[in-house]
Amino acid sequence: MDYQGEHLLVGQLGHFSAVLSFVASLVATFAYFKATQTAAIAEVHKAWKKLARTAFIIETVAVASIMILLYVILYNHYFEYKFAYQHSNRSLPVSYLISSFWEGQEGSFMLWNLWHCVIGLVLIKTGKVWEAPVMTILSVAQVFMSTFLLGIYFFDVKIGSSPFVLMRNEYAYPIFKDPLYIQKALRDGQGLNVLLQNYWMTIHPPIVFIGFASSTIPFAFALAGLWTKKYKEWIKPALPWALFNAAFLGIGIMFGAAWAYESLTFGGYWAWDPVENASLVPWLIIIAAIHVMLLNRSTGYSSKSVFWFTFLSFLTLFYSTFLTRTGVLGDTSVHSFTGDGNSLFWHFLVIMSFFTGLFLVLYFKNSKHIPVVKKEEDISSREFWMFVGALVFLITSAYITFYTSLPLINKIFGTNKAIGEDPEYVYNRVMILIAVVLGLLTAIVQYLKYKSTPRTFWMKKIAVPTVIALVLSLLISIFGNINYTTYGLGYLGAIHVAIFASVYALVANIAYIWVGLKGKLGAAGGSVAHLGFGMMLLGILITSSKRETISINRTGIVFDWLRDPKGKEDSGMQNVTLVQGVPTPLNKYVVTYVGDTSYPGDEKKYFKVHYVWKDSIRDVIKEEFTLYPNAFLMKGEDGRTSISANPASRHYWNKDIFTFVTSLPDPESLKDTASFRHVPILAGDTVFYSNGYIIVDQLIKADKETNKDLPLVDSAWLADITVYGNNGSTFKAQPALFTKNDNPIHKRDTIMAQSLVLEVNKNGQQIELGVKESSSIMNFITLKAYMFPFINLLWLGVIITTIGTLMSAWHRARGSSKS
Amino acid sequence: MKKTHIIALILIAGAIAYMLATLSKDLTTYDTIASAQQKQGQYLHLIAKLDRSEQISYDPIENPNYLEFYAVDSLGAKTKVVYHNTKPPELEVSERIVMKGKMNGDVFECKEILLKCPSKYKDDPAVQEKAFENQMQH
Repeated sequence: MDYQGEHLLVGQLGHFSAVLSFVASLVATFAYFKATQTAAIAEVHKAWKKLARTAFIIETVAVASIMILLYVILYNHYFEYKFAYQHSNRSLPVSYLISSFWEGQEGSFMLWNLWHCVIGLVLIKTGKVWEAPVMTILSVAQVFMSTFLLGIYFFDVKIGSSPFVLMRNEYAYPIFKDPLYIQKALRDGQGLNVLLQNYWMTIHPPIVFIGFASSTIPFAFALAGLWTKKYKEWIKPALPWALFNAAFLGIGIMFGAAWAYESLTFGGYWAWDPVENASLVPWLIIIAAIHVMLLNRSTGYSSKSVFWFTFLSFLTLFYSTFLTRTGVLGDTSVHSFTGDGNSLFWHFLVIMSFFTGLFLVLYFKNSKHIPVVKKEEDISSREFWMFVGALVFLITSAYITFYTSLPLINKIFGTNKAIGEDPEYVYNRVMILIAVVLGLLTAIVQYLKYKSTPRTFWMKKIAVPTVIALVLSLLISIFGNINYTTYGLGYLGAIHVAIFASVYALVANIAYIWVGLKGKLGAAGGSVAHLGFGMMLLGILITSSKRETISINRTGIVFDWLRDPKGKEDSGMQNVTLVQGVPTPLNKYVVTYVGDTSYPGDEKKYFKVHYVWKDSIRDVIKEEFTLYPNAFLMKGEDGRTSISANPASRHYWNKDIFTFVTSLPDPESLKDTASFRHVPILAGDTVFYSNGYIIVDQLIKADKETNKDLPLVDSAWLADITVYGNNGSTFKAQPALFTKNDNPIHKRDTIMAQSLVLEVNKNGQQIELGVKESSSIMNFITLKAYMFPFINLLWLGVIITTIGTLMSAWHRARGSSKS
Repeated sequence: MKKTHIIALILIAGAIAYMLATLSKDLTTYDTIASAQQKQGQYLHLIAKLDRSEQISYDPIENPNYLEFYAVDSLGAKTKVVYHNTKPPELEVSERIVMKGKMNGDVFECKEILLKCPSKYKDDPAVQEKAFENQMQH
């Protein structure tokens, strides 16, 4: 049949690229394997390496082509392709087209794939003797990654899923037999999930996937070390990659947290959601691995466990992706991705089993030959405590992994367990202790020397930072008003101890840059990362223990059944209804819902919420600001409107005031029968209504030619209006009329207190003011508001940690390229 | 035995002991309405569907923290649910609801709601098919 309007060439090229990348990765694997095996024979080795490099470069080009071709499909709205149809639509701004990539899992794997290739190119350039064995492992990984995009059937098993499939091949709907099916049925796509329409979501996935892809490299070096029997030498070139991996995984996770904070409405940046845990665990383990690598480089200890740590960091990353992508988490996560669950499930199992098997075989074949230091570590040595720290990270990961894996455990053992009433506390009460231990270790261990530390030397150097940290943390504890008693005094005590530990980590590492390193910043990457980590911990402790709910509902009575057994007020009372124009006291603020606005070309509705904090005794305004939380209004299938809200925050250096809309009246219920009365107006005119009069202060006309600030509409008429009520009250209003392509767009203004709706209208050349009086306009929003103190400490800590880690990576990469 | 090994063992033993001690308290079960009614006052997870034949009552002007609706599970049992929070916007279109809370007499006092909505699962072929049919009809 001859279908009209299809663009098949792009898809065919795409399929071809996907298959090419698979074949090229197979060739690269084989050639690099041969190159490694023939390392002793220079001529043969060179020939194999040349072939391998060529194959790898072809593969890179193929993967890049997949990405470009998919972008072409999205950009040109070729909705005959399933990917474009499901993940984009015509009204999606170009800046978010990129986000469409990662809504579909094919796009995510493509990204992972692409970063593997880019990293591979860097390894070809810098790898030297390590190139062949390391690239063999990376190419094997690429064989698996490229199969994710194949979407071919091997007997009855579907392997991967292609982003280039056509709608008409995927769904056997009768309309797809029609030659004109695109014009008839696929004029527009389903669009992108509104939660992903956020700037953090354009940047978070690429960064996280750099972290994902780079986690293959330390493991590839470890395997290469076992394979080529260089049991120690691999660590030096692997270390910068491990640091690089930690930096990108870390910053990627925190970008995700920032996204959650800015656009999700669970009221925070971290909720111990499986998806978050899944990215945290590999980070914890790579940090542990880095420390074990470092101590091994300096002392030769832990020469066996370093292999295990590196292996685990790789395995947990795939395990995490397995948990979140295959749908095994099912009902436990709000945002676990689902999809081709079953085929992905086995795909991941095969990958994990393959690499686990490969590692175990290589490790146990060689373990007898791995050199070990017979003498025990001295208890005053740095390596001893570094290893303890690494173990703490490992135990933490195991704890988090256990609870995150519950749904899988249920599946295997046929149980039906779930985390109970307070999932966050299940994690937090353990993490607070871990924070204490890690804070202390981070502070102290740098002051220890490798091998053994003379007591007097150590005491002398650490005394000053200890005293400073003690004083600072006491000041925070005493004057900081930290009295989080929800979980009793024991927990509060732990918070205060953890505050000391984190301040200690911060201060001791700043001091170490001078005392230990004599201010040599080049080598200070570690200390910088550690002090950032201390700051991060402190930020987390303060924001979580001092988070205040501003919107506690004081308007109603507290019902008995809203108290939980311990007699605390239930968290369910955190929503407050604000009727438009009615100032409502919330905490120390008086909050008013002023009105809402929407803009042409923007699907969101913005709610203007005004906060004022007045000192009632001296009658001065101490704080005043306006927030614009917004929400996507989505028409459901049944004609009902649902919302997806985005928070808005007022940022101060020491706190954030955080507000989001939780509910709206159904616009249908706001429809009223009263109609507009239109009166021709000029500036200065007076219009009467039943309760007073209206003065038109100004009438402004703007159009595209005269005003460049009107990019979305053709022309606009704006009226500045003052309403004088009979009771002496005055109100300001700014109704406006926009036109686009000769279609009028009204921006009405409502004065709730006077039950008055105003609009600007144009009748021929005459501008009119529309006045509607209605008793049924009761507009309101319900919202939640929180205060997050010192959240900037957390963000700053993350940035400093990342900078420190990258400094360290750079320092070590230069060191390893010199030798 | 090396000191690091001893420490490792202590840490692992400690972690396991701690988990065993707290596990029974931390963990709860997925239940049906019938079995939840047997476990009065016990915190559990209920998987059910919105009963569309009954009214959803939510009046934010009166009280923004009170939502009442009925849920039915796959075995046909039915219960009233009270949720002291705002109405989740996609409740009406949800396909499945996971509710966390406890049974209090005939009422399920719900503390947390997770909705499974068609819009979130575009990749699911069955959902896709349905969405497509819907679009065709318009």
